[in-house]
Amino acid sequence: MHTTKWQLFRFSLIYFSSQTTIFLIPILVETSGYQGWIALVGGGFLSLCILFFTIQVGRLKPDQGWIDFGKEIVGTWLHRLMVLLLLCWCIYYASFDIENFVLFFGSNYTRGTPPIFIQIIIGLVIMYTATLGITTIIYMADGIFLIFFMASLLSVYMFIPYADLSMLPAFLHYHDPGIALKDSISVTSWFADWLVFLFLAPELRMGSKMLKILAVSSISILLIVLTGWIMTMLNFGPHLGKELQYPFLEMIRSSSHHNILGNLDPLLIGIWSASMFIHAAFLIYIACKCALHLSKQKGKRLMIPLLTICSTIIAYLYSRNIVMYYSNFNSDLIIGFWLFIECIPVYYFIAAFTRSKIGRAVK
Amino acid sequence: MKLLKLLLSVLLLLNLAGCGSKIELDELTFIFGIYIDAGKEPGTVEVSISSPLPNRLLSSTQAGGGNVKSHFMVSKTASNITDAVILIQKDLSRRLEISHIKVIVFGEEYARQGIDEALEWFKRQPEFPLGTYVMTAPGKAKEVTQLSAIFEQLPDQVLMNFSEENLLFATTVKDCLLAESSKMGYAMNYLSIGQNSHLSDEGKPVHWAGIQGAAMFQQARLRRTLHFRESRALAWAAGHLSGHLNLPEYTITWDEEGSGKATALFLSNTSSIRSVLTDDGPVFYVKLKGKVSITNFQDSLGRKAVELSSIVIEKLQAAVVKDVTDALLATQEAGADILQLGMRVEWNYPEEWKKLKGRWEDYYTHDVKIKVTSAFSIQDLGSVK
Repeated sequence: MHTTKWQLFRFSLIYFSSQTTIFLIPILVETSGYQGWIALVGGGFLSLCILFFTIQVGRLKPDQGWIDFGKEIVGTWLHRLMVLLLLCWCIYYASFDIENFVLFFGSNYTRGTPPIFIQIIIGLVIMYTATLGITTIIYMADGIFLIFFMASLLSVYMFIPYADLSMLPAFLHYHDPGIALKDSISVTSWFADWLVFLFLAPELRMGSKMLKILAVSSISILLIVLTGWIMTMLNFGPHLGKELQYPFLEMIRSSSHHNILGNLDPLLIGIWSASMFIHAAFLIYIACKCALHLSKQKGKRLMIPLLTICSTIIAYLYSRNIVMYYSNFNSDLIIGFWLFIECIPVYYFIAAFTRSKIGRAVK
Repeated sequence: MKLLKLLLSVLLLLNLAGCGSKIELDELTFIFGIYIDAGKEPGTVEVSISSPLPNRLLSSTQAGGGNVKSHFMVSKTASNITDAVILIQKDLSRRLEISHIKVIVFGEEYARQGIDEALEWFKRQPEFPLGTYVMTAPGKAKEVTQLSAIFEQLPDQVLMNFSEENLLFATTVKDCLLAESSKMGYAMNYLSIGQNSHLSDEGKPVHWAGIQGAAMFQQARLRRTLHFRESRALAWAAGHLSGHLNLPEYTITWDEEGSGKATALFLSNTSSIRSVLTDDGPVFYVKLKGKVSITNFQDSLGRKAVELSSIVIEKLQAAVVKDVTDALLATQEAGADILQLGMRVEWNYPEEWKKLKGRWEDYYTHDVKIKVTSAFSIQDLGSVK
C-alpha cells in the first residue's frame, strides 16, 4: 500500500479532532474557566512526550505490527494482558463514541426517536466501516479532511462577529497552578492515544519522518481545539459556557435568522459525524486485531460484528441510565484508566531499554 | 456479495435520516412570537402564542385583502410557563413547534416580577434558538400584537425587525442569559403601542407600535425604563452589547455669535471601555468615537458648514457625552450594570473582583466611577459646503 506520510497527518487530524472539538471544550470551560488554554498547552506537551515513546517502540521493528513483536519485549503473558486491556479500552471507547453521538444527535435533532434505534444504525455503520480495513479508513479520512478543514474555517467565521474581544486579557490574569496541573493531565487523556498508530504497521512503516509528521499533527490538533475553546469562551464566557452542553451548536443556531448560515448546523454536524465514524471504526478495527491475537487468529469473520455488538450493548445500557453515564464520563477513574492505557508504549519502551542495557536486546 | 453491501449501504443511508420521530409540516403550528404576561391572579402567568396561518397569508397580501388576519393568537393562564403551554397545546389541532420563533415580548408587570423562569425555560430547550430577540411591552404584552402590520405580513415580523434594524437595542435571549450567569445587568427595547388615526383605512383607528426607550434589567427583574434619548445614548455606550447601533442622528444648536442648528448623522459609531485600578477602586473610561455626516445646517449669520465645523463637533461631543452620562447615572440609580463593567474588573483585576463580587450591585449604585469622553470627526458635509 502506498500511503504517503501526509496522509497519515490527515488521518490523525481527523481521528483526534472528532471527539475533542465537540466534547472536550465544554468540559474544559467548566473545570478551567479562563485558564483552559494553559491546560490545553500542558496536555498537548505531555501528549507529545507519549508520542515520542510510541514512535520509539514502533521503530524497534518497523516491519511488524507491535501486536506481534510485543511479546518479545515483555514476555508472552504480560503482552497478552496488555492486549486484553487494550481490547477492553477500545470497545469501551467505541461505546462512548456511540453514546455521545446518540445524546448529541438524539437530544438536538431526533427527539422522540428511541436511542436503541440510533445505536443499532450507528453500530451497523461502524461494523461495515471497520471491515473495510485500515487502508480504506485512511483513504476515507483523506477524503473528508478538506471538507472538515473548510467547515472548521466556516465555523470560526460564524463565531467571530459575536466574540467579545475585551475578554482576552482575562486569559492572562488567571493562572492557578493546581487547576492547571489537574486539567493538563485530564486533557492529556484526550490527546494522547498514540498507541493506536502502532497498529498501522505493517501497512505503514514507522520511519524517522513519522515522528515529525505526527508531532506536526499533534500541534495542529492543539491549535484547532485551542481556537474552538477561545471562540466558545469569547462568545459565551465561563459562567454561561459551563451551563451549556453543546455551545458549538447554540452558537451556529443563534447566529442569524434569515439566511442559510443560521440553519447550517446540520451540515456541520454531518461532517463531524463522518469523523466520528472513522474514529469508532478504527477503534473497532484495532480491537479486532487484539482479539484475533488473543484467540490465535480464530473466528476472523465473526470478530468485528461481535465487538461492535459489545460496544452497542454498553452504549444501550448507558442510555438506560443517563445519570451514570454523565458521572462516568467525567470521572477521575476513567481519566486514570485512559492514561494507563495510553502509557502502554512507555512501559514497553522502558522494558526494551532495560533489556538492551542488561544485554538481552530485542532482535 | 457486492450487491448485498450496496443494499446495506443504501438501507443505512435511508435510515440515518432519523425518521423515527418525524412530524410532517402540515401537522405543526409554528410559534412565531411568545408574549408573556403576569396573570390576573398573583403567582400566575399568561402565555400567548402567535402563529401564522399559511393558508391565509397569500390572501392577506392581495389587493383589498387587508381584512383577513393572517396570524392567530391564543392565550392561556397557568401557574408556570410550561403548564400554560401545555394548556395551549391541548386546544390545538397541531403540534407546537418553537424552532422558528422570531420574537419574545414580556409584559411590564411580568418583567417587574422576574423573568428568570422564562429564561431558564428558553435555555434548556434544545430546539429553541438562543438568538431570538427579546423586548418589553408597556402594559400587557399580548396587546402589542394588535398592531397593524403595514410593511410586513405579520406583527411578529414587525417586532423582530425593530431589533434587527438595531435602531436601539438588539438584545437576544443569549445576551440576557450571558448577563444573568455573570450577575450583570442588561437592557432591551421598551415598546410603545398606541392608536394612529391618520392611517386608518375605513375610519377604524389603527394600532401602531414603536420603541419608546429601553427597559433595564438586573437579576432578571425590570428595574427601570429610560426615555428614547437616554436609551440611544446608552445603546451607543454599550457597544456590541446592544448589537450595533445603527446610524444615530443628533441635532445641536449654538447661540454664541449668532445662532443656528445642525443635524449630524453618525455613519460610524463605536465605544470602547477601559478600566484602570486605582487605590480607591476601579475607574472606567468610556470613549465614544464617531464619524459624522452633516445632514442639516442653518446659521443666522449665513456662515457655511466648513467654517463652523469645529464648533459643530464641539457641541456634538458635549451633547453626546451629556446624554451618555445621564443615561449611566440612571442605570446607577436603578442598580443595573448595563455596560457590564463588573466583567471588566473580573477579566482584568481578579484580586479586586474577589473583594467586590459579593456586593457588586451595591458598589455599582453608589461607588463606581465612570468617565465619559468622546472624539468625533466629520466625514462629509453632504452635498453642500
